[in-house]
Amino acid sequence: MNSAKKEKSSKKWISEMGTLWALITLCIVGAFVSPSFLKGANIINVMRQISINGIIALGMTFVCLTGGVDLSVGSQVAVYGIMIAQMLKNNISPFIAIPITLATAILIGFLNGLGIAKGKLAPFIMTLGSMTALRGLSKYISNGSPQNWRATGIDIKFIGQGYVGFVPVPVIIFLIMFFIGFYILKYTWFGRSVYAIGDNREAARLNGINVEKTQLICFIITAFVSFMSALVLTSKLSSCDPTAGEGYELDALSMCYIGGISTMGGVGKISGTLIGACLLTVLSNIMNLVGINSYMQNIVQGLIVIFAVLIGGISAKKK
Amino acid sequence: MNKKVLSALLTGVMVVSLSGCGSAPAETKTEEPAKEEAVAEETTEVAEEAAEEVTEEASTEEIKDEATATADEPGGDETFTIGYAQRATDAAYTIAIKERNQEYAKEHYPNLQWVETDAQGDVATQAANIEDLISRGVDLIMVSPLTSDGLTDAVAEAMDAGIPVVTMDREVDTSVTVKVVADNKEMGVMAADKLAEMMGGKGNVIEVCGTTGSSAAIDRQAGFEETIASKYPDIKIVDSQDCDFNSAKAASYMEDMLQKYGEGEIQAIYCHNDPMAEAVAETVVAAGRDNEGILITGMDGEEAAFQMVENGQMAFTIIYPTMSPEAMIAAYNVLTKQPQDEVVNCIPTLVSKENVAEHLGTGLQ
Repeated sequence: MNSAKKEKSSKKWISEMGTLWALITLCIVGAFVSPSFLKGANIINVMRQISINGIIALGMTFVCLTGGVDLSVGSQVAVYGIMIAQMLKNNISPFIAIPITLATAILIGFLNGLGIAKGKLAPFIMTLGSMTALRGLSKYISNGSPQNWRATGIDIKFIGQGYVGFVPVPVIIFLIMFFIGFYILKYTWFGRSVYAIGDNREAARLNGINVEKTQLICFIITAFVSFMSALVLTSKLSSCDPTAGEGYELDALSMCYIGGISTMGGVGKISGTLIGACLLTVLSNIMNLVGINSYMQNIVQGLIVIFAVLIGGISAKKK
Repeated sequence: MNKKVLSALLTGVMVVSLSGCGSAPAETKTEEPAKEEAVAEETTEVAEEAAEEVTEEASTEEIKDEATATADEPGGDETFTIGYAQRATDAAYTIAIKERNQEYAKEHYPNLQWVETDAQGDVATQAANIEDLISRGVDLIMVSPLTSDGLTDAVAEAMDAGIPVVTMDREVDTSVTVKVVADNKEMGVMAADKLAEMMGGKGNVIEVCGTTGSSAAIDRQAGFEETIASKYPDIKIVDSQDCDFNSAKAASYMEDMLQKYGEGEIQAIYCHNDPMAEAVAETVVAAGRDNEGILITGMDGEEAAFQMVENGQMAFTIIYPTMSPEAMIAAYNVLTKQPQDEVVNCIPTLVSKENVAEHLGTGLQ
């Protein structure tokens, strides 16, 4: 038990440091291949791009740490984005539309969590179902068309496009959420419960942790981060597509796994997810700047996920 | 579910729909109703039991309603049933094809009935739907095929069964009664010519492409790039990327491009559809680069794009025709045995500042 723990922790450490080195190497390469890469404006631009997917990855970290997965986050982004866009389009004040959408998000997260915690469904199955159903819902309520509220003159661009000083608002939202997540996982009973469940569910139960409740809250967290991401995305574009968020679940999972979160749960840090998010976004930024075809970009991103987890595993075994 | 129950259920649905067809007063086919009734009598009992317990009931109801509607239709005029095989209802455009044609029909051809199916973006479903429409014995099938490869056989089957087929937008690889088409390549050429005129024949263009491999993206790219290459040597397409017809991807790509190219280095951004053009325009404004006079162009004809053209955020968009009312008129001509060309080519319309006023309010929502 003790040696197993040691092995796990060394794996975590190597993987996280490895990803950090990979990120630094990538930035050096970026500086050489593209003169625009290290410019202040591009760095701010990359930080803003990290926020939309990164916000989701932060929440996904909680679910992954319990050993679960939430495939429905991308579809949730579309549902919440469409809801906001459609309400604003009908001249409903953002001060009403946004709280209503948030309430819906919490409800959807609760239902996801309920199916998993009380219904004992595998998270993969439950969220596979809700992913499909919610994608259908977003298309149904929008009648399949992109929704925008440009005609009403309502302006919530500040959330997605605004700045405080020279820092974009989405970046501030992202960083605040990161620190809250960091604090919860490291210093609260709930955070320790999340790790304990991923490490050994039965042991956690015997130690008096309410496994069902913890799981349920984790899925409310992923619903909340999907809502935040939808809010940033929708206000940034002043519109929302029913296909918005497609593939975000996979982006978020990639960020977690690259950042050293174990697929079995129990191991990994939210700071790893942050590095994973930076790595993938910087990569896509550099490839766009250099003009690499988007299919090639997918190939590279996919291989990086495989190698990041592979190298993490090999390093742990060597030890 | 038990196979027996399932088959009984399907029989039930079939029976009710068939008897619905049989009771329609203006049915032209004389032999089939008799046959159907015989089948109907045999299976009614089983069917009724099964229909009660399952949700399939809903669709049965619908069909019954349609049947009564047909029966209420005043005698006099001949009534036709058009089977409409919708490819998907997840895009404003595919919805517009259907609704605009049907609205036209409602106004001008009161003697038409509709049977609709929706393939929800799945080729196999659309093929099966067409087969269902053939079995229902509709008088004509209107279809906007998802892909040529997947739908060719089903359309050929309909034609073989003597049911005329009108294809809209996309085509299939077999002879059809009428095909109503529009030329994406022509749109690319129009965009290149208009953009070159507005740019004074020189400058840098970034091309924001649709899904690689989709016929719209291939043609919009080819028409544009070939025209630029052959007619405007001083215009350079400096960067292009597949953004999947997706507004979020286009915005993120453009953020990167605005970093790569400084002030005065981009004269125009040519986007393969309007949602991407709108997102690009928003991004240019957000980056504070809207004072450089970068010309942003889209395609399809969304209402939001018209508004952006009007307030100067976009240079122009080109309306991709919704095949209406051309398809409806063609279908009606076929049904009423009037002369009809086999190919109807709908002409795309370029909407710029000069003529946007007359198009506002008519765009895709």
